[in-house]
Amino acid sequence: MSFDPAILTKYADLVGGAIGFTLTLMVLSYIFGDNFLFRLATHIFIGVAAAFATVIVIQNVIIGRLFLPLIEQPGKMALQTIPPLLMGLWLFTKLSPRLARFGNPVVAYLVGVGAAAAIGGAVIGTIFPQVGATTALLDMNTVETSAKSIAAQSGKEISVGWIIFQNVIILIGTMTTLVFFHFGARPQTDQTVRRPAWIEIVSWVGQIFIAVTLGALFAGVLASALAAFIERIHFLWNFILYNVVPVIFPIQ
Amino acid sequence: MADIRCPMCGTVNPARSQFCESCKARLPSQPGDAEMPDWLGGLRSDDSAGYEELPSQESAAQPGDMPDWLSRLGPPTAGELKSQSPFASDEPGASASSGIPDWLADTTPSAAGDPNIPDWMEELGVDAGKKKAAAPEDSMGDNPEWLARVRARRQSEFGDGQEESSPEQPAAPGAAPADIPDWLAGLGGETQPAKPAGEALPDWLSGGSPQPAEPASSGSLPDWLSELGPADTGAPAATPAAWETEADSQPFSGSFGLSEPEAAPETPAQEPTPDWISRLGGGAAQPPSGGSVPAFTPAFTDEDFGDLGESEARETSGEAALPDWVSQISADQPQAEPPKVFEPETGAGLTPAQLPSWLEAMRPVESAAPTVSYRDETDTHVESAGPLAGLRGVLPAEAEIARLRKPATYSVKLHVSEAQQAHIAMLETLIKSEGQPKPIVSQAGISALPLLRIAIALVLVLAVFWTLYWDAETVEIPVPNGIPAEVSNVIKSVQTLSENAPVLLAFDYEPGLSGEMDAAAKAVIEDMMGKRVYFALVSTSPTGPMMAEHLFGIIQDSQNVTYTNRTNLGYIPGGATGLMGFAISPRDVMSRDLNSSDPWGDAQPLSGINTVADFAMVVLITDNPDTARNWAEQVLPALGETRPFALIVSAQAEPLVRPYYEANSGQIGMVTGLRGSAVFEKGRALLGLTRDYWDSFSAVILATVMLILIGGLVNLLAAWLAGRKPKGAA
Repeated sequence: MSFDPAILTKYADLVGGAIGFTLTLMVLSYIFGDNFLFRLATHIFIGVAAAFATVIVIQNVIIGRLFLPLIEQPGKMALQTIPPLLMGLWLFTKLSPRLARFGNPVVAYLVGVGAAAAIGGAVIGTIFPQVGATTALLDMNTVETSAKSIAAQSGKEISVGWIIFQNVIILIGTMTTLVFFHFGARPQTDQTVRRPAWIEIVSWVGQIFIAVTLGALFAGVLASALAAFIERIHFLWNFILYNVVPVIFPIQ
Repeated sequence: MADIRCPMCGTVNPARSQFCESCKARLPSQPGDAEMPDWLGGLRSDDSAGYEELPSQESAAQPGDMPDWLSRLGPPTAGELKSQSPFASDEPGASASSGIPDWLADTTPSAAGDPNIPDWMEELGVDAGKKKAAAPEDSMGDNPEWLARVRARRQSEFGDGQEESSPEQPAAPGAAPADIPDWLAGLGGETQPAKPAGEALPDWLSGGSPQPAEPASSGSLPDWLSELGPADTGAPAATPAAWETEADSQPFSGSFGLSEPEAAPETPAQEPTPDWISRLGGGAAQPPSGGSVPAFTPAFTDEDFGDLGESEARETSGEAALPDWVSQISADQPQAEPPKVFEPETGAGLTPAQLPSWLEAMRPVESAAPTVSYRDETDTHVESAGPLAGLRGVLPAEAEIARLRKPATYSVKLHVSEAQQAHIAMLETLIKSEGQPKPIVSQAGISALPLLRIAIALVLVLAVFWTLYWDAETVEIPVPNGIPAEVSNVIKSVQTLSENAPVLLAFDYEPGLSGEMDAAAKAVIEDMMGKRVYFALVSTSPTGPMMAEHLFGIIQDSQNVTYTNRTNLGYIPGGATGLMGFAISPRDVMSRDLNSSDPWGDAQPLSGINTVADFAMVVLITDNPDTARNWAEQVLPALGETRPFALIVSAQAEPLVRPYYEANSGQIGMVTGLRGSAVFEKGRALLGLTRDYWDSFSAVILATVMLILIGGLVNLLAAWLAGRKPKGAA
């Protein structure tokens, strides 16, 4: 009797589909409240994800980028692999409360490098481009270019004034939203701590824009959740339609 | 005679020694000098040679009541007194005499009735008159025998040179009665004001005058006498009873070496010893107890009183005792004045005592104290309590210290307000609740099922099943104004890709959102696969490589192809730092793919990749806005200005990712969720997952909107009904 890999693949898909179907039903059982099936499915997902991440890290990082280069090309890769290896081993001192302080330099190195990269990227990749784009909203060259681009894509003419109005709304929304997060309040004569009146008014306008933004975020989250829900229902439907029904109602 | 003990070294010296044989310190010439006022000492200074011979019977009788200086006199016993004292004679005149000499007795009668003379002096005069009847022998002009002996003795001691002490030879022309104190002068002033002292006074008195050679002047008088003499002469005299204390019969006789008078004179009621007398005796030495022995030094020796009887001696002692008016004067005067008043004036024949500094320092305080008192008239405060009660001008102590008040009462009980108590109770409740195990709420029965949740789920599931059952695909993908610019940028970028162009495809989404992300990315990836580009799959999430393989499996299954023009580089560790390193040098960071092979070899499509900018296009598939920000911050700047960067993001991440697109819309394209993917599929005329999902998605969105609307209306109605009930009840 010979082993046919095609059979394994066929049943593997069926088994995989069945596991997926079961786990999906277990998760959907949360409709009836927190229960054992839901918790079991949650634990399985967490465990599988953690195990997979561990496998990926060991295979892709530790073995693939640390030991293999060091074994294959020890002279060439020593400078690139030994320092990370030593620092990685040094971090094991954090496992012992008595020796934890000896791992602080490595942690400090990691935190320092991470903070430097994050700050540099934020300044170059976020602050400067965002501020530049906001200040260019009333640039007539930019406005005209935008109008032409939109007209070319939509096939309809759009007035520059409408573009300017949109840009003004964006500018007002940006400024008022930033003012809303201004917390430079001062104590008043009536022993209360309030911001100046003009800041209160502007921040109230910014509050409207923030509410609109939160509404958009909620709609996006709802849309994403509904898309995932739809995908799962489609999976169940297809699994039942193509795997269960043929078994129950075999086609003659 | 008793020896003199040196006050400095304690050496016992002979009685007549003036200096200590051991330390050469000046010995007290008279044991009573230290205790007596100077004026008394001056009175008897000339007779200092004879005082030692006076026996002190009284001191022997009561040694405990007398001060040390009296004790050091070495009083003879009573028997000795009897044999030695001339007062022990049985002369009739002496026995009946009150002690006042005849010369004095002669003067007192004439002073009687004089308003300037105090009563005591008048009494003295009366007594003297009485005594005169008993002893008629004396008169001012007749020197008694005892005076003659005194004079002879003085001449024998001082010789002719001491003529100033001679009553017959006035020492100085000016030695008028003014040289003597007024009180003495007042005694005879009325009767014999013009008489020289030598004639009016007995020799012993004139000779004993402290200032016999000084010219008489009012200024030489002591201040207290000059001030008080005239004023007090008219004042009622204090009774001599001030001297006649309980021990009146003893001290003076003792100090004078007199024996106890057998017939004590009639003594008035006892009165306390005046203060000034007490001070006289207590300044330097221990005061006599019980007012026994005043600080008096005998001014007369037994020889001087040769013919006087005990009664006379008694009268003399009573005469020497100052009356109350003197004590009142002394009481009114400053404390330090009496020593100053009686300071002996330097005369020609008297050598003032040169006290050494150490002895000067031992002087009584009264002698060094300021003589003029200062009274602050502005200070009207009179001490009302304490030992200084009644005194004016007492220096106040610190107000908080001197003020006697009841100490503040501090309650041990802690004052806690009601608000604080409420907070304490709340905190205690919280702490107790933390320690108490929470009971496990038992699962409710079927009646407690979340019907609303089940109803909502049923609506959504039925909506999906309804679209799946009909499978009509009747819902059109809405593109009201054409393809959006962000999707158009992605389409244009994909169209520009050439075959085997290296495209970096990043899978940075979690498995939970794979339904949306797979549908959104599938159309774009299928379009690029049609271009036969070479995919380099990376991820900053450990599950990213798995999701990449999963999506490519779906695409391969849907198209029944095996797309091998790709490599999965795997997981980029380090977050933003790893991304930055990957953007700078992808070879160093991702040296091997998931199969542990080298994707950067010479024969590989990625052989020309040194930086991230060498990729033909970078596509990021993510559901996390933070991941999109990391890529935009670390990788986008490294791409340059022309390399296309496509973002396939979830609908939930779009509001936060869109600003990056708006800021760089010429470089960045964006496909957002199912809607963006539907637009992309429509723009590329593709049939993908989005089309399959779109009917269901539309139905579910509609059902959701309806549920939200219905729920809002129900809540509004419930609130309205809740608001009506109180009105109806009212």
